[in-house]
Amino acid sequence: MNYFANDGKKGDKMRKNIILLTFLLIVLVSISVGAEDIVLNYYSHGVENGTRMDIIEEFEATHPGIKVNLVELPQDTNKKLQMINTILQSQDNSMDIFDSDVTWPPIFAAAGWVEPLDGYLSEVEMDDFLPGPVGAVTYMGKVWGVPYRTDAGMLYYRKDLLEKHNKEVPKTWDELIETSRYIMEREEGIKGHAGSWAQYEGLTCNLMEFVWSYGGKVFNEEGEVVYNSPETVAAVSTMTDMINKDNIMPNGIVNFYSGDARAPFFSGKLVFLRDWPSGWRKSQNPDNSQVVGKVGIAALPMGSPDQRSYSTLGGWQVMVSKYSDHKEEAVEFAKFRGGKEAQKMAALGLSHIPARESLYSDSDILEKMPFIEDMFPAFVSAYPRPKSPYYAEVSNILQVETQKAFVEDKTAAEAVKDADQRIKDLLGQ
Amino acid sequence: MKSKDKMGYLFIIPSLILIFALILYPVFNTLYLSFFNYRVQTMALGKTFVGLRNFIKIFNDETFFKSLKFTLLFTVVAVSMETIIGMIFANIMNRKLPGQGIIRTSVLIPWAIPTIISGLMWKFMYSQQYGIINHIFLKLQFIKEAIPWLSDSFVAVIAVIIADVWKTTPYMSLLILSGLQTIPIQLYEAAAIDGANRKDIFLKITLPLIKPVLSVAILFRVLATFRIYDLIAVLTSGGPANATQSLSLYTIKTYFDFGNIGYGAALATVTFIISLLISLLFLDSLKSKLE
Repeated sequence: MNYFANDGKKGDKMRKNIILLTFLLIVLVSISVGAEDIVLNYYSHGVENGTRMDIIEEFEATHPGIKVNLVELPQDTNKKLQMINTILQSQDNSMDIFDSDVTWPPIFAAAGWVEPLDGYLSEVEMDDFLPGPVGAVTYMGKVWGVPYRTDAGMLYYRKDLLEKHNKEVPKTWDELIETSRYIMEREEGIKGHAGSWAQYEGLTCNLMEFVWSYGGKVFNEEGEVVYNSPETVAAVSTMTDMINKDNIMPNGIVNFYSGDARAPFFSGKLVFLRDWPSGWRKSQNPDNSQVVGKVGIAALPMGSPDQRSYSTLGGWQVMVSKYSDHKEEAVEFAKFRGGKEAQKMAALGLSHIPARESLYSDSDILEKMPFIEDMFPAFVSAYPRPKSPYYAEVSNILQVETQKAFVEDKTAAEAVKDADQRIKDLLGQ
Repeated sequence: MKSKDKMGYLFIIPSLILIFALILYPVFNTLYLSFFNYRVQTMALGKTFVGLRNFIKIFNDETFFKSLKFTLLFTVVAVSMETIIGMIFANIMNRKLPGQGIIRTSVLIPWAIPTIISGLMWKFMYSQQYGIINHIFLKLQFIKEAIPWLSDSFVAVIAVIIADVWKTTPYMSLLILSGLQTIPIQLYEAAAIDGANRKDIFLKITLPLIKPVLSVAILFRVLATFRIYDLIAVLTSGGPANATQSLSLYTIKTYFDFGNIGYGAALATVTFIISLLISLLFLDSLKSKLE
């Protein structure tokens, strides 16, 4: 009896174990069924203050069955490009969507690494976007990305100083030089103007604004190099003179990144500054600025009164990898990321300038960023940098040759001529 | 014996795999790619074999020679200064001084700071607007106008060298110190009895005895300095007007930023060959160490 009773107990235990195991198995299976959500890997800017995660949560809530995993790209823009390049080059399917700078779409489109989005986006959907960002994602007649943020170069000026000396906001670069010299003679320790003129992408942005405003350009409509023109030479001469002849730029300008240019302006030692809109909030924060309430914003000066003002277009878009296993879902997310709701969240949370026209009349955004109303014309007329899959190399040639003029290795005319020739060599023209 | 041999090979397999995957494969793949015209922009069209054309292009490439010239100048000047100053520091650290622990620690601090951080630090200090170096020099009236540390083509080269010497001298002095400590004190005592002067002691005892350590240290530094990238990327990104563009910086820009994989690989190969030649120069002194 005892023996059997024991056996019975053992059997009970075993049965219990089996039931428990079965139960566990069912739980596990059901979990894994539930987890059969599609997971998109989104290579993005860093998380910063959490707004990006809020946008993703909002997407996941409205799109059940799709989860988005944010992978942080490096801080430095060139490193971002290197990383994305490496992943796409190896045809890695682990990256579904990624952030793209305004100059990158031709690179990826020409390499055949990204999915064209024409089939997914209706014209109505594209209609609300500003012309600049749309131009940036369009290449060879196709749309390659969804813009989610725009940017444009602006002229910051010291309202109080101009008022004190009874000067107007300069309309041309010559006026800017004249006003700078006038104020520099009358104010202790003040310099005229600064921008990001170091040998990096920032210089190309600044340079193009000068070149365009004088009527020059890098490529014509047919894609031929037309950089070497009297207009371009005049533009580069003006820049060089601002450093070496008129002496209105702070010392060391040829190694100024955007932060280096902001620092003297924020500490009240500059009359003018060429900066992106992101400088505005910082200039109005008393913790790191001594010019709170004294700053005005205007369109950048023109080359001559019969030209117009040009701003270099900046901004970011999302693009879908051709090697993604979940393109449909990835496009869904791209559309959401560039959609009104997400752009509004980014505007409120990260002060990103919206790439959609309708958001410029949104009362919440206007309350948070009243300045975008005044800046709107600049965003509309912002001009894209020369479009080429070889852009990075073209840009590098422009930087190096322009700097050679800055440090007086060459005259402006020689620098422009050499840059023109080197770009032609590069493109085989 | 035989099975012992087999065991031996078995044990080195993991490291062999790592060497193949992480060193040999990339080196040979780079070499292979350097014979092709291969660009990110035309990747869809594949790569075309161009033989040695990339290398011929290098020898007609003004930017390459400018970068090579800068890199060689930078390497020679920086490593010489590091060696001389390192020797002085090592001698100080080798003495019986009160507070030697503090001296040794403080000499080592620059080496412990990550290059990117020390690069940023120097960048702030060099600034013409708010830099402490110009500030002090101006206050002491050494100079009338702020020195354009990073914005003048010539001064920028000096500025980059100073930052590198500051950062890597500790490494040099540490290695030399280890060499100095292996010299038996009796040799110095004997020399003192024979009436040798300090110059003779240094040239005939110290220098020959630390020569193996010194040549290894110099070799390491020459190779590392020749491939300098991070410090320059932070300080000047090669500017002004390419005056401080090192070979590595040019190679990385060409390969990754411009997407010119074939030509970038050729540049990397040339850099690799030059580094290899430099190491061969040191082969003799390395041998003497083994004997």
